[in-house]
Amino acid sequence: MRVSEKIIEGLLWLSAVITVLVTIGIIWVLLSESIGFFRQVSIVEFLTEKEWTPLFANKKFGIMPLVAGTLLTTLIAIAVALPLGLTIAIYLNEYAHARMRQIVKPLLEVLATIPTVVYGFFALTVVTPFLQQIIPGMAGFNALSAGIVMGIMIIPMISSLSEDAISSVPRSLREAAYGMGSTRLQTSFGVMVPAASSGIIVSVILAISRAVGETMIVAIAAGQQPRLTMNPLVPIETITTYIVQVSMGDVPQGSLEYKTIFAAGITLFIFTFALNNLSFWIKKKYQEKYD
Amino acid sequence: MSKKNDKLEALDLNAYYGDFHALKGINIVMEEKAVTAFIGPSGCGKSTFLRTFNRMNDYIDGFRVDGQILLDGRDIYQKDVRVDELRKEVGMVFQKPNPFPKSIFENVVYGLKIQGIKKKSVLEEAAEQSLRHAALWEEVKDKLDKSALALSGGQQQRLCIARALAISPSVLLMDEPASALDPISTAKIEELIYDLKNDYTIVIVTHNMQQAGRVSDHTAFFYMGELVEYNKTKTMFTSPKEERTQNYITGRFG
Repeated sequence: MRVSEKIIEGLLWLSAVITVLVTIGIIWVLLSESIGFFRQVSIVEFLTEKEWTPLFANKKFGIMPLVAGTLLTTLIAIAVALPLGLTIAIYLNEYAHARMRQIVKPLLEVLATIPTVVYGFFALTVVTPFLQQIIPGMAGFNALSAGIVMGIMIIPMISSLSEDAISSVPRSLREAAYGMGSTRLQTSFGVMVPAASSGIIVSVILAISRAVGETMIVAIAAGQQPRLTMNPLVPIETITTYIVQVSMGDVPQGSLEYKTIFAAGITLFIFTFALNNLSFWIKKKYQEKYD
Repeated sequence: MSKKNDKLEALDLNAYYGDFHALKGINIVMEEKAVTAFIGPSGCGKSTFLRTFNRMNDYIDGFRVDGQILLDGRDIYQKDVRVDELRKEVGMVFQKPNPFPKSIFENVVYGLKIQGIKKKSVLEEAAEQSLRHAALWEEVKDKLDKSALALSGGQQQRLCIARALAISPSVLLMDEPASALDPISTAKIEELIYDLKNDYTIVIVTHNMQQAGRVSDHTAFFYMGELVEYNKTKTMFTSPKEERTQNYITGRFG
């Protein structure tokens, strides 16, 4: 009895340790390879140079075009997903009947299960041609349609996390609002959404973090041209897309070109790490407030 | 004393939660500017009944009523009645204090703000008046911009009363307003109810027989969804007509 108990305890400990070790390993690889990169390219150049052309004869190592591409697609995605996701969350919580909720919620979850490569082709073959009819000068590969489709992809994330946040607001607050003669709209936006705001912010941050890390849709639909621009109609490249592009190419291991992956990777890692910590911090603060 | 007008009336009121028959053929008339207490054991339907007067049950899936509820002679379950307008006329105070997570000031003026009143002087005056009316002004006048959640439970409940008074309803529904409070706060709330009946028609649900005796003019005793007895509070507590009422108020069940 005691022996089997010990074995199980050991197995549990081992699983926990493995995840920690893997994380440490990833960070170690990222760091050591990036350090190699930054021995050859100064951090100042990395941050201030306006072009990113490590694979060309005239090599330039400015990460900003990739960061700009990432921010641009993420911004578009959030601009699509936040209003839609929040509206859905409010609708499900305040307006929909129980039966409606039972139908809509699983349908939304389906959106989250579609492989991103399908989204990518949807952006390239459906959304882009459609947008080109409205905006004639738009390039075939662009940040706009990739961003919009990415926004659609993260709607369920925002809507379901926000819905959880809104429905965890104490019922007594909703009753207070209704009891004062508030309409449903006034109750939702004046009381429920503000009371759930930290949960909603967390959902948005996690969605941003997902959008920043998203690879397939932008690789397929946004083009692969690093460009320091906020124009959504031209081809751009995101950090993730660059990593894919180089990883799949025939760049010799150990070369400077090879090390750029890790420099880009660590930049991406810093972004998502900061975002996840921010959401963790907000969540913690929010829980303290309600206890 | 002159005869007061009838303020609230229920005519053959039945209410159902799905298949459960929660209120059975209730008939009652409540006069204005008086306190009516609803008493009865848990689950007897008194809270459900209270909540039909501002249609707070509307949001419960499967809830329905037939019969009529009249406010000043008008049936509030008619299709053309807007519930948000109704609730400006019929204010409510809940069992657990439920201030909004906003400042004290914002809580009191909430009802005015959602009606589109923005003028600061109007809001400030209404806030002071309501807080005075709810006997809370002296305690909070220097910290109106502090969070309402920092107040004590009793103060929060008086804040909720002030919030309800700010939109000048004519009826105030109170659903066990003192059951979550300590004895001193309870006494303050009871005192307040006594003062408020000069201006408002008050209906209060309570588990506490002594409280019903202290604050109300009339008492209605509910049991298993039926209105068993309804009379002047004094008469009811000294010489109840029904045996069930007698058993309940003497504490033989409940």
